[in-house]
Amino acid sequence: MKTNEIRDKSITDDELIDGYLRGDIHCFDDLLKRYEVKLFNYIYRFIGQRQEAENIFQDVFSRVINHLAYYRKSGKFSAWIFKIALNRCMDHLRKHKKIATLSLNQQYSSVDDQGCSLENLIVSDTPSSSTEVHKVEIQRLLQEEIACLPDKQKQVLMLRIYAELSFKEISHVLHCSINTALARMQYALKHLRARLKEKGVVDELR
Amino acid sequence: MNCDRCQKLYLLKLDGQLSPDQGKQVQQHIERCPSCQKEIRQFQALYSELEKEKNFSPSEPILQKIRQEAGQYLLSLENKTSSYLPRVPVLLPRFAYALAVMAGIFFLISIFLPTMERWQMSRLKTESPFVLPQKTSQADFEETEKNFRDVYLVKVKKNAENTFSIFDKTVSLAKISSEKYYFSFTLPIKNSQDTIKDLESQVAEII
Repeated sequence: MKTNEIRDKSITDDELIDGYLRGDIHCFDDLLKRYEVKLFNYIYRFIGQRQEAENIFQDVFSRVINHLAYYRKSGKFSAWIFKIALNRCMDHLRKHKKIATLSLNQQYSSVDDQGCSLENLIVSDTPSSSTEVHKVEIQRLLQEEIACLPDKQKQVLMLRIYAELSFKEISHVLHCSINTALARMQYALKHLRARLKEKGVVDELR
Repeated sequence: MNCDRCQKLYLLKLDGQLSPDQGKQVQQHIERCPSCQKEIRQFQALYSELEKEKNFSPSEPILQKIRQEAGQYLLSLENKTSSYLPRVPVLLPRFAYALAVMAGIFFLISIFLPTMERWQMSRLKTESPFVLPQKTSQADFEETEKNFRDVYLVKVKKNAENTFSIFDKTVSLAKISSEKYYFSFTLPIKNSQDTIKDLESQVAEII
């Protein structure tokens, strides 16, 4: 297993694609393994619903498979696949006209708990009780705030955190300079911090 | 280095994309600047918080479907390559190929056009009563007249479209664009004493 992992890392994405197009299905499996978690997290965070995220995930891979012949092997496969995912996610959000935010009185469906709504959370979140804010709740607030970020800042943050792309790769996906990507990330972080501070969660983060 | 630049470079540093020199500069700035220290602590806290929840995986049936599709695509690829020509990888945009085809056509035309002209000329030669209707300059004309007794060059004037007069006789020739031409005819000359009048009558006979 260990030798496999080492071998996997030494092979580039382009080599795996070559292998797959020559008829080796194991190369595709490796490629899928390499991207499944990163890509799914990225899409899931964008969309906010597991079922939809899985549909989009499958659709992205379907597009990748059918367009591999058009992919120019330039060592930027990660930029390519996340660009496809980004376009699909933005299409989806535009079509459904609702961002993956949760309205204040809506209960979190994905979490296995006692039906605590965001409203209650904020009400109970007075500075005195801020230390009691549960870690899971911080995550929820964070995700909600991310969903409310301006599109461009959100895209950079998603690509950096969930897709785990470097800023150089992000600049390829978004067709902007590294400096622009850095600035958007910086704004996004400041924005998030300010919003969390408003809600009294910042102390938790220290 | 100002604070804004320092904070941006710090983000790059988290990527591991900073040169050791730049890393040192960032570090030095942070050590001196309390506001950047605070800012960066917050960045780190947010980063680590964000990094926590990202271990979601797609469900196994979805992965299975994708693997199936990949296998099917491979099969379709094999069928295609066995029954048709191998797939041509797309290296250039399609219009580039269209341009290349057009350039090829122009190239072929440019090669065949002179050949076709020559072919038409040769057809003319066989149809014309003259042995060698041939474009020559005034200098060539004089040169030829001096050197070859049996070759006479006759001055031809253009009358109208495609019509020329040689010794008051009108002849039709193929399309010629210029105003004035000299044509050389090879005529049987009996001896050097032949006058231009003899020549005239011989030409008239041929025409």
